[in-house]
Amino acid sequence: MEKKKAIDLIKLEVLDCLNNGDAETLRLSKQVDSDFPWKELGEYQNLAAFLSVALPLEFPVSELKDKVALKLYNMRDEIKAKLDAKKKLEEPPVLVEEEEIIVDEEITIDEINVPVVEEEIAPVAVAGRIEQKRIAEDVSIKTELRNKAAFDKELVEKTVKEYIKSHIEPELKLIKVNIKRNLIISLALFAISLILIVILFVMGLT
Amino acid sequence: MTEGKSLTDAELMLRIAGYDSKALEQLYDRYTPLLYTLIRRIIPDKETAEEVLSEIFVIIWRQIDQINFTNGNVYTWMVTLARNKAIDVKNRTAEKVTEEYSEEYEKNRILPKLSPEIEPVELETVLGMKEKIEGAIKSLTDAQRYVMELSYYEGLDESVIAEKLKIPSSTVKSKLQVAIGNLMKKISKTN
Repeated sequence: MEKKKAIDLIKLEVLDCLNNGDAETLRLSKQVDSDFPWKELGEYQNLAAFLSVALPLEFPVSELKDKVALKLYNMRDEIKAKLDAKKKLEEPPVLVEEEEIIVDEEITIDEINVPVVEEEIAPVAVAGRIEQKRIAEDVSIKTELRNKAAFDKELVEKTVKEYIKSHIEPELKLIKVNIKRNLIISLALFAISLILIVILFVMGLT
Repeated sequence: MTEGKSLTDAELMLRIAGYDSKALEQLYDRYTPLLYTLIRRIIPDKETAEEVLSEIFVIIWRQIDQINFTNGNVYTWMVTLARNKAIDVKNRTAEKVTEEYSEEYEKNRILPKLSPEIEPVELETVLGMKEKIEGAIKSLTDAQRYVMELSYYEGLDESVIAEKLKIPSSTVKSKLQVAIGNLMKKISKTN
C-alpha cells in the first residue's frame, strides 16, 4: 500500500472511524508492508489522545477512590493466583532424585508468599475495618508460617516485625489497658456483691 | 507518596507491573481528572462514568502482565483505554454491541494497540500544551470539529455520521482526514 493511502487510513483509525473494509486493508498492510508508516501511526495516536486535554476538567466524587480500592482488594485472590503461577514458571527445573524434597519446598514457597502478596495487593485507601481485619489475619498466618519456612525466614520475620510494630503493638497496648480497666470493674462489682450479700445476711438474722 | 510524585508515568507502570498498590494509587491520583473528564464527555451520566473510571483501573490491575510498555507511552495508552472502554459501555447501553464481554474481547477491543514506534508522552507535558491544543482545535472549521467530535466522542461510524449530516460517506472521511491533518500541522508547528 502506498504510504499516503496508509496515512489517510491511519487518520481515520485513530478517530475510530474506519469502515470494515478499510479496517481490514489497514490491518493487512500492518502485517505485510515492510515500510508501513509506524512512526506516523504513533504520531496520530498521540494526537488523538491530546484532544481530551481541551475539555474543561471535571472531578469524580472523592469516595470513588475508596470504591476502586475495594474493587482491587477483592481481586486479591485472582492476582495471588497469577503471581503464584508466575513464580512456579520462574522456578528452576526439578531433578527427579530430589523430587520429594522439592515438592515440600514448593508448598512452603506458596504458603510463605500468601501474606506477602496480600500486603502488596491491598489498596492503601481501603476502609479501616477491612484493613484491620486483614492485618490481623495476615499476622496470624505469617506467624504460623514463619516456623515452617526456614529458607525464607528472614523475609517473613522482617515483614511480621514491621506489621507488629506498626499495627499490632498499639492495639496490644489498648487491649492491656482495657483488661486492667475490666479487672478493676470486676473487682469492684465483686466487692459490691459481697457487701450486698452481707447486708442481706444481717437483715435476715435480724 | 512524595516518592511517587517524582516518578514518571512509565516508572509508575513498571511498579504496577509488580503489583505495587501504592503505585496504582499514584496513577489514579495523577490521571483521574483527565480520564473522568473524557469519560463524562462520552457518557454524561455521572454514576455510569464513575463506574467506567473504576473499571479502567480494574483492567490495568488485572491485565498489567499482558501490557507492553516498552515504548514508555503511558499517557496515550491510558487515554485510549479510557476512550475505548467508555465508547464500549455507551454502545452496549444502546445495544449497538451484543458481543459478550470476555477477557479475549477486552484484549482485542478495549486494550489499546499502540504503534511500536510511538514517541513517549508524559501527562505533565501534554497538560503544558493545553492552550496550543485548544488553539489548534479552534482553528478547525465548525463542520470539521463537529464531524471529529461525532466520531471521537460519540463513537459514531462514518455511515452513521453521513446519514446524520445527510452528506456522502466519502465527505465524512475527507472532513475527518483534513481535520486531523490540520491539527497535526498546527501542533507540530507550535512545538
